Amino acid sequence: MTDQMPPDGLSALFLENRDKLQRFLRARTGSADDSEDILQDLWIKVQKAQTGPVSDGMAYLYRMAHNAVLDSHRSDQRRKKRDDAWQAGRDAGAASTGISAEPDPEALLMQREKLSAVEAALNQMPERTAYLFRAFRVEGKSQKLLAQELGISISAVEKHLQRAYRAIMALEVYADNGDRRRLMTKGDEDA
Amino acid sequence: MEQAIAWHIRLSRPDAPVDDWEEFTLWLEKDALHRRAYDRVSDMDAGLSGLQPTIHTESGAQPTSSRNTPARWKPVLAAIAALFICALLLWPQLSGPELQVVETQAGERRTITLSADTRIELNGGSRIILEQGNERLARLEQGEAVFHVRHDAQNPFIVETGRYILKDAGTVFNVARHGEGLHVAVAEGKVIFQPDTKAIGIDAGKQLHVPASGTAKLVNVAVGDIGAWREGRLNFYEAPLDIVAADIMRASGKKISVSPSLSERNFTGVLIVEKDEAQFKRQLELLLNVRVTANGEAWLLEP
Repeated sequence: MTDQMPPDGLSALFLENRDKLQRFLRARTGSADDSEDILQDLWIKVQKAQTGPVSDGMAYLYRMAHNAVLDSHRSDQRRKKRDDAWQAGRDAGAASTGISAEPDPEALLMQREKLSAVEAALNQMPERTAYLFRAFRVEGKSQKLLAQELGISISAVEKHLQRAYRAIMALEVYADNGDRRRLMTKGDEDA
Repeated sequence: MEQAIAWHIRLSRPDAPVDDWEEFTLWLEKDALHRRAYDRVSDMDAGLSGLQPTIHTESGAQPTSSRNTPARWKPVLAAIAALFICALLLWPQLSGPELQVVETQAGERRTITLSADTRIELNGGSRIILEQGNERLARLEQGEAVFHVRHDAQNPFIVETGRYILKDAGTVFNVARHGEGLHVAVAEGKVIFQPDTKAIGIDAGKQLHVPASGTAKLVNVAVGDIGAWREGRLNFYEAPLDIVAADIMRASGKKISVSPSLSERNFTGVLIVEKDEAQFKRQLELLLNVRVTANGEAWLLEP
């Protein structure tokens, strides 16, 4: 595996490492069917991808696979939401409001509740931790950039971020109560 | 859970090596609960999109960074911000009428039809609040929208946005929020900015720039360029690169951050949002005269 690849290098790399990617997707989705679908989509994307020289092709493929799981997760959730909204709209005989785009008020409220809890938690955190978290998650600054900016090591940045994420995940709004809207539950796998 | 969090942060590094991915696979395989924990972290993270970047003071005296604020004020500001957020959250319940929130993801667009001759086209990454039963009022909480409004002098259409109010005087106009800043461009008719105080009239073919701090400025704009985001064209006039980045994100869903060393740089010109990422990247590099590096899903603009 060389660093500089010919134009079709990514496709070749994919074929060579298909098993590894499949194993990753299977572990990540917990479903053989889902991972197979995502792998198929990924293969199409890889063939279409016009990338310049990629320094570490395999890491790049893993990243693509990882993102593909998130994308499929997200579009599933969106579809679910749309279906729910559609159903709710039919049940309520809505369309009388004259407003065509119907958000799901319950979900919005829950979302706001979560965000306010997160804001409150951030305000409780040490200043530097909260700053790093916002800069990383909201402004999209990389850990490397933040390390340079504050003159600390990347692993120190990582520790701050971990602390922030831990505090947020410990919030009651994120408690795992067998969330029925979760995507890849047992029921969904069987369906 | 702690391990799931550590993985989530580790893998968000754009240069995460193959070893990390293989180790991550092994960790996932070890226990099905690991995947569940990772999903929960990932879901939580995905839901944080509405978070505020930094806490702004209403005076806007120091618009860019809370780090310039003397440390002793921080708890006070944080408390004010918390109160403000609570007020914002309670606001719908306290006030009488039913409110309708319409929100778009970055890269998504929506048209809201209020009546036969009044509609709002909402750009990506935007949020608007409407009062049910009152189709003459809209509050643009975040993002950008084109308003097509039936003019009625007796009952003008009002857009509230942050601390500003816009009143239509017969009209098609585009409103874009950039944090505390505001851009209003009028394609047809006229809009009154701050009707109760300054009452600046914005005629067709004019655009009002209200920066986060400093004085507002009225400039000419080609009518055809107003709301051009609907066709995937983004027009900029002396726009700081972070505003350019925010507009691209709204229109395309592509997350872009700007290196602090480019904070002084302005851009005037037109960008076309392209589906092909490689081409879009080249375009940005050429037109903005920057280097674009991938940072996970996001792009970083550097000199």
